[in-house]
Amino acid sequence: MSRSLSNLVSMQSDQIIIERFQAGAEKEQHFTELVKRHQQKLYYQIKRIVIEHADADDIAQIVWMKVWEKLEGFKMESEFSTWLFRIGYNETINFIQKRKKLAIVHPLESLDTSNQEASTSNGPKSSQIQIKLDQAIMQLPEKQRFVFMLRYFEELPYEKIAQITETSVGGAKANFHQALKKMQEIIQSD
Amino acid sequence: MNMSKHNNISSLDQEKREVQALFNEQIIAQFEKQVNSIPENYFEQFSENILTTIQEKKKPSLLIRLSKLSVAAAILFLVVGSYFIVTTYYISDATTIAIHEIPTVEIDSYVSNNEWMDDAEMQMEINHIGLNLDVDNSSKDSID
Repeated sequence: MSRSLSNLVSMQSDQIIIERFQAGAEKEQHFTELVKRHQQKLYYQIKRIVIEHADADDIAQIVWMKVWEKLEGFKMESEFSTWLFRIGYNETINFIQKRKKLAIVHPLESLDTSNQEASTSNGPKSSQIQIKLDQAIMQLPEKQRFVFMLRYFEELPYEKIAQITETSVGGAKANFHQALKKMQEIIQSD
Repeated sequence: MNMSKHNNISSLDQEKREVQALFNEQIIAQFEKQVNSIPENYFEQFSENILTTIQEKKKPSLLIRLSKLSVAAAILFLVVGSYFIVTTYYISDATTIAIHEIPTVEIDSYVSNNEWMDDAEMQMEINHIGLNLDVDNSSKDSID
């Protein structure tokens, strides 16, 4: 691909790139452009939930494979990023549920904070709070965890969060506040 | 539009403050650092890796190719086997020739060789019924 064509593609909107992809011209090139544009946000969205890089990488690959398969039929009724994050959300939930069925416990879920030694420069107290934060996040139901991450770290409006998690705006708000309440309870439990 | 955006920002700020009251900012930053730690050049190579995976998926796997080959071999074996069985056992046993292909001499010879069988069968039938053909003949003679 020439440099000028590459620059031209990168200036286009997602919609134009998708239309070109659907027209069948240089599919790989347009798909690569979409991946480059959105891979980081998708990856971090997944990684905040599963924590481990290997897991996040596996899920991200599955998501992009699905995008490749389904992009032909994407009707652009919603933003591409919303559609992409919704696939990411569904695949992450599937991954967590499969892991639960196989009874694989995430390392953070099985940590005992009372026996943790201080390992950071912040001292024992902050280290324990750090572990507590990780644990609290891991103990949240998947949907609440997702909503919390999308709201706090991605700073997405509730309308978009509702579309991604296939719930109502009110439901998304309720999920965020329930997550906050639950984390508070976990933190104050000791 | 602007109003709703403003409301969203103010509610987001409020929510962020609630979270930061629970976990201090440093702890949250630590969590983000943990999330942001990725292998070197991960994103640079990711799109290439995805395209490679897609290309590989397009090609049928070795297992599928082998299974297709084995199905084809099985069908070929069945066809050849059936042909062999039919030609060996059925066609050879059921060899037939048309009547006009048999020489007349052979037919005559067959008939003459088997004529006595017809006579014997007729005699057996007569005996079975219990007919006395000689008596009947003598009565006819007496009338004359």
